[in-house]
Amino acid sequence: MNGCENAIEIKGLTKRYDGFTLDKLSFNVPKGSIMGFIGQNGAGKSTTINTILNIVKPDEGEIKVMGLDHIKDEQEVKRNIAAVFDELPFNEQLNANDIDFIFADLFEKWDSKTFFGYLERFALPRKKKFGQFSKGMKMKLQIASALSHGAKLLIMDEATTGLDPVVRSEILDIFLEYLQDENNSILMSSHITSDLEKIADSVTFIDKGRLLLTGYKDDILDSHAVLKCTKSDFAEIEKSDFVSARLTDFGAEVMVADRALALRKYSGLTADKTTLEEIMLFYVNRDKKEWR
Amino acid sequence: MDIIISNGAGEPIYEQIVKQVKSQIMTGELKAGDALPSMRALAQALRISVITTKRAYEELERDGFIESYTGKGSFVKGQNAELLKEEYLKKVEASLTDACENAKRCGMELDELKSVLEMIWGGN
Amino acid sequence: MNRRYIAMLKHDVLLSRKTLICTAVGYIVCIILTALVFLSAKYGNIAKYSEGKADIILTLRYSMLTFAALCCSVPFTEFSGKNVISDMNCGWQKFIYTAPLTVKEQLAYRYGVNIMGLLTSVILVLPELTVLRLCSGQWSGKTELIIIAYIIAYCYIMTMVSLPLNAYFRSTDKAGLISMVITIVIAAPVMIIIKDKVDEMDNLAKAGGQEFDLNMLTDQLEDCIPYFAAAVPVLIIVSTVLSYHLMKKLLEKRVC
Repeated sequence: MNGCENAIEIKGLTKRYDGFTLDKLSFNVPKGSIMGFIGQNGAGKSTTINTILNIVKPDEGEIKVMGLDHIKDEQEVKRNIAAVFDELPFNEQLNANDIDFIFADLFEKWDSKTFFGYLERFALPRKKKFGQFSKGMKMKLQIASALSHGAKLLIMDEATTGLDPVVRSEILDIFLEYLQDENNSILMSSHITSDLEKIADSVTFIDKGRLLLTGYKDDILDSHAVLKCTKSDFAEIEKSDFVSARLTDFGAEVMVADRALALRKYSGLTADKTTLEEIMLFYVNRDKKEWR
Repeated sequence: MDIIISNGAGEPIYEQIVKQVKSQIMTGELKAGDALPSMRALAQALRISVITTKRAYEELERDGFIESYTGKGSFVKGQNAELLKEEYLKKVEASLTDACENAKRCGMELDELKSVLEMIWGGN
Repeated sequence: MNRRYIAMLKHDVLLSRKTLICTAVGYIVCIILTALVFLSAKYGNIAKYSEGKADIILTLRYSMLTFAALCCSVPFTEFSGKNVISDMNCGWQKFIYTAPLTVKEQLAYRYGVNIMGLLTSVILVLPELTVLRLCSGQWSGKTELIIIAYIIAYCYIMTMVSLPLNAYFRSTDKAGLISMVITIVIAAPVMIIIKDKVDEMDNLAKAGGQEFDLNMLTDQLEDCIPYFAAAVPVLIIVSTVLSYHLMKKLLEKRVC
């Protein structure tokens, strides 16, 4: 497991359902980094994550987690990862003390001190039943438990969705702390791009089961731009040079994937910095009629 | 070490870091042998990607401003600060030469040029 | 001992905290009551005042025994019933799939606990029987032992049948209904035979001017008993094996 480059390697992942297919998805999560897995609801993020966790069996494809095959070496993999879901997966009648009591035997590397340390930091009560926790408290509890058994990889499925900005910010700080150890990695799926805008090291965009983009976030943000121009200017732009464009009565907004090229070829047009959200919008709407 | 990042500026964040570190080295705020925060610690403090800080440090090292040792960290290198200051001096000379030429072309006097210079210097 | 089994046991016990305590208390109360009632019947008030004493005592005997037998069976039915449904619904089972716990381990735990429960039920009935004997001066007859065995076996088989159903349907209504139906189907032949015999005995007894006594029934069924005694273990084994295989399939398909 040491010396491997990627925390997760996904090659050609395919899963067929009625009405939805995850189609030959391939991307890597580099070790020591945080990857934002972005896509609309129903794009296939949860399916992908469930496949990595072997909750869903893939039809085709290969997944390696920390260099190990995710099915053949499933137990070894699971000793070193922690999954965090959008809902607290613990029975409502249990409390934090119970979780510590159970997990001490469930996980080899469970550390009660670390767990209670996080509970204190998050101001979570030890004896209160989970049924009485707020949404934010439930998520913090999940994270506290995920970080207390020596996991080298955190996999989060829409974990911050539905939380208020203050709690989200606290949680993101915890993740940054977790990443101070360069053996730790995070895969985080979300459709709230603002969380990932700042701290993600790399991003993968997925839409309708297909990979749109994957790479370092800085590279993607630097290489994409939105050109603002008149409709007649837009008519001059070659189809192969842009991703999609939104035309209004007053002009056109054109998303390009190669800013340098666009600035050279179509100098004189304003090229605005873009955000992950805009990138997602323009790519996803490519096939819509109102967009070009 | 103070680093201030502006998201709105057109300049990529790693370049902002590079510039600020370079200027702090040149003004002597960062002295030769001073330890820089680790890439990860800086990324955490600024709440940015570690890839960004990595790039910044790599460029600083390429330009000879810092030295990185695995396991130990990054440290300010001594000499090149002087070299860059010389480079900047050359740039200043070149810009001033330009300014003088343009001034002469439009018939400006030296005193006028001096007051424009003072105004611009004061404004920054 | 694999620590993960202990973890799963801890989880079940913590979830059923209240029920287990109530059951334990109920059991102890039952034993105490039995002692009191029968001591009273022998030496105390009931001995002095009651008429038709025999009936009361009989009814009480059977009620106490039934209650005791049920108490013993509650723990493992709780674990495999309510807890399994709760685990499926709240996402605990999903979480378990992400933990280093194999399907084999989960099955070994679940079925191990149920078999242990079966054995402990048999053991736990003994105090009640002993008290009964001490206080009423009578050992329990064949009938009573058969009834106890039947209750415990019924609970166990019902648990086996409902385990995979609970995991699949995740709610008591559908799962409960189906397992009820199945167990009744299994029990039906026995019920019918007994009903016939009871009617027969009752008529005979009335004709002969006697009261009907369950012991008469047992005597009549004397020859059936060996078959009954053989059928119960077979059913226990068959239901366990079938349940195990179904559950294995469900867990491998990652039902949650």
